[in-house]
Amino acid sequence: MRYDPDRLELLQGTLEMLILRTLVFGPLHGQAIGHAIQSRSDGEFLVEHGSLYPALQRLLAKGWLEAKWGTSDNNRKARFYRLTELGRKHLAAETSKWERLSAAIARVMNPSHGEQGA
Amino acid sequence: MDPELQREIEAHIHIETDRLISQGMSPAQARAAARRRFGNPTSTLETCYEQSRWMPGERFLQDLRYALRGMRRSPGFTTVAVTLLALGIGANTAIFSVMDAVLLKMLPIRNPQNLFIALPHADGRDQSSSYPVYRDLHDQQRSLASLFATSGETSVYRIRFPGDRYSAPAKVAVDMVSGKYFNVLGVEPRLGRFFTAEDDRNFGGSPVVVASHDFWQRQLRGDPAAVGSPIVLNSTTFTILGVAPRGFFGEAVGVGIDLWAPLTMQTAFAGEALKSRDSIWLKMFARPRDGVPLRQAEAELTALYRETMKREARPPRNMDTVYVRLIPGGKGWGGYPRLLEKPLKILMAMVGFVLLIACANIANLLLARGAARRREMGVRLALGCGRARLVRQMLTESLLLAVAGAALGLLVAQWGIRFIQALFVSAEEPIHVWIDTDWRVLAFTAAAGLLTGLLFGIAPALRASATPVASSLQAGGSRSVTGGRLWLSRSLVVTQVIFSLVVLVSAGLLVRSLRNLRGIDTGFDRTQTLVFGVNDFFNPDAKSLTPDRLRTVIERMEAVPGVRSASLSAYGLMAGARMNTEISHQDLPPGTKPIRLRVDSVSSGYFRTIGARILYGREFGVTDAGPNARAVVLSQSAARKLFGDQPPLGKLISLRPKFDAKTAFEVVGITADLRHDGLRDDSAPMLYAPLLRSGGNFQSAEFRIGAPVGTITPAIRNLFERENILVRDVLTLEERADATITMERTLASLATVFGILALAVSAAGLYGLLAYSTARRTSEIGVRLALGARQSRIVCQVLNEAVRLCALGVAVGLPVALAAARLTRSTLFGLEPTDPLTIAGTASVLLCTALLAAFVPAWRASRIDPAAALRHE
Repeated sequence: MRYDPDRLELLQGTLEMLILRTLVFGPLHGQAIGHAIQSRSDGEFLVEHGSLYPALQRLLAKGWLEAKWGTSDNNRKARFYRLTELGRKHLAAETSKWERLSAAIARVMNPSHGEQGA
Repeated sequence: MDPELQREIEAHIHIETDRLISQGMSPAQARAAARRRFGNPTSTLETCYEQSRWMPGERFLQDLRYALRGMRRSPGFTTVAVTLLALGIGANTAIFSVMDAVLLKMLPIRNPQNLFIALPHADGRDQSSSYPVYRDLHDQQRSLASLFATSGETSVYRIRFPGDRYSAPAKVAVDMVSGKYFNVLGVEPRLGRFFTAEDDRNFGGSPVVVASHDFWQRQLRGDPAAVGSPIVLNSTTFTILGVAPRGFFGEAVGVGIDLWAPLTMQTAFAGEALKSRDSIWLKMFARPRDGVPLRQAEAELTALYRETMKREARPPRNMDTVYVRLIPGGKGWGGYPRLLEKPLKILMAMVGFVLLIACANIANLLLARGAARRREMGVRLALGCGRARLVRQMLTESLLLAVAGAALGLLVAQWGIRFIQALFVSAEEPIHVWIDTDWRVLAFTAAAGLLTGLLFGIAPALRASATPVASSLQAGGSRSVTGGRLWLSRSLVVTQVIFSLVVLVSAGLLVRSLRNLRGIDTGFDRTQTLVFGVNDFFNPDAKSLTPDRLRTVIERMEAVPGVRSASLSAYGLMAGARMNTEISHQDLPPGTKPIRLRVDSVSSGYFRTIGARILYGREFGVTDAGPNARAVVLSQSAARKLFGDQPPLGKLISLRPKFDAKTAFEVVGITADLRHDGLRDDSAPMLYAPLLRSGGNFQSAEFRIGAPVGTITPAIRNLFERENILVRDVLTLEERADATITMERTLASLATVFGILALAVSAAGLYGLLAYSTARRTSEIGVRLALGARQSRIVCQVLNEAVRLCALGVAVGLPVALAAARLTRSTLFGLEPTDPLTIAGTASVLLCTALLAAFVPAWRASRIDPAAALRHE
């Protein structure tokens, strides 16, 4: 299996950030996270829900999330993810970084700002 | 697979299905849609599994791939870094290999940890043993599994292969050993067989020898049929019994034994010593018996040794200080490990510093490269690469460099080892060491590579990961770094100066010490004197060497064209052999102890020939011959030792413990003190007796020459061949003197190599830093030039920076260098480790090198075109 490392890293980093952001308002289970990301992005990200789980595992491993089994709204057993203090901090840092990055990219991509280099 | 995850996935699909049903889908449609949206659950499970299990390894491979790609992309940097590392690690590996062979490695024998040296101690020092003493211990002891003896190296110069089957060497080194020597050591023959216990009983009746693998290859052409063939040593015909395995050089490290012979054949090699308690020539080795504590064995050997020592002609005075110790013998026994330990430690420290310099240099290169890669780092960080990951990535690159450097270093080391081995073997007194790349050497190289990789990689890695994302992505970001960030590079250059100073001061001390040794006044003329080592202790013709015969020989020696004068002596200069005799003289009150003095017998014209000064009186003349000759010559220090401030000329001396006026000798001359044993050894008080009084064996023939050595030597060789005098070696006194300082010469030349290496690497480091920093200040310099700054001022500024860095390094490095130089103290001659001249000289060499390294960047900076520089901005 050959994968393109650059693209995966982009997905990884971004997806992780999105998951963290979704959990700011309280614990959610996997399906709800996927649904929330999809509906808030107006369907721009068509994320296969299956790809959430490797990302969730990584976030657990880094200590940014905690997971607990609980009961869903419609009485099904489900695993709920909650943002840890560490995760909250990381999200804050990521958010500011993201804002700077997207601003920088916007400047670069905007032709009115001239070419790169001297 | 993870069952929890499986349950979670099932729950996910159920919940999604429920949601879709509540939106109005049919249950079957909803289930299908939920599954579609989820994707392949198995693949999810697999991905999770893979990442939990393989992530570190996978990432490492990826890092490695990046690193390789990076190396390919900057071949210049990679070449420089790997070359520096290969040199640094190679030098370290080479010195360590020698150290391993000489100091660390066990003998290639069975169970070396269980081999002990049985070392007798009496009269305040460790003793060798006579054969009767060894036999007493051997026959009576019960606490050892075995005890055996060896003679150590004995040189034989009369070698012949009957029928000239093989070409005979000029000299072979023979070790006489007990019959069970090979058995107890646990060495298996490469060919043929070894001695047996039977050989210990046949006094003079076991003319067999075992050849070393090296001798077999070199002299016997590796011929298997050599086993069983005869070899004549001196005048005894031996049969070659077998060949020892490759790499086995006997029990003494550094001594290359060619042949082993049974102890019982001793009379074939020198005068009868097997029955004599006065011939002290054996070393003893022991294997303890299982279950018997060493203490108990030592106690028994001590008791037996005291008992047998009572039967000596002069038993030790205080029996309480007579004992036998068992000391570990698995690393062998020989003088070389002790001789080489200090020099090897000094060299090891030096190459260690050289490697540190290389590390600092590479770290700087990496920093410069990191600055050039800021944008790449920024992009990777922006795309979500973690900083820890980035550090790991950078360290992987460093380690890859280090591994490449270490691998090449192993090759460099092979070359270095050959160089050192050539130095060892080409010495007049060759040192034979079996150096191979064993697991210890490989482990050392691997550790050196790993440590250097981390050492030079860590700072650049941390710095790269600290790249601020935004600024590095901005246009022109790579140039926006301010001078403040150069402090790390500067301190790395200063570090290089510090370590260079350490290496150079030590090298300077060793070189100056060697000069002192070479320049020393030995009391004789070393350049115009040619010395033939002749005969040996076992000279079958010794009895026929009457005074008349010797006189004829000397006359013929002097008749050789180009010879100005010639002489003979019993021992001669720097020959390694000596004799001490107890003497007495007329002023010694009766009953006082006799005086021990070193004695040599020399012919007439000896002092003229070697160019020694006669301070008072005369030297031996042609009249000092025959049984009535009664003249002796004293060295200055001997005269002072015997007669204090009284005029020594005309005093009477007996060459025996009791003074007897009737047979006494008269002091007729006083010579300057001579360094008989070599350049390092103090001149011993010496008494010279006339060789032509009673004739006898002589081992040295001296010639004062007025023509090139090469033209005279063949004529003299021919003469000696006609006179049936064996020639062992032909050397000028200068060469003989050099042979006594082989270790010092080797040490000084290797130290010089490492010193130059250190200097070159740090000069390159300084050059690199200055070139980089001036290149980055192009626009600044351009502005200053445009505003009217003079070119000379720009040059001065750059040179000034070089001198400041160098001076700082010297100032900080001085205490370090002085502390490190203390290691050399015991090998230095005629100067202290704090020698101000060496230190001042080293500092100026460093400063000059710094200026030299700075000149090109300075000149280039001063030639910047202001217009171009400003456009560049």
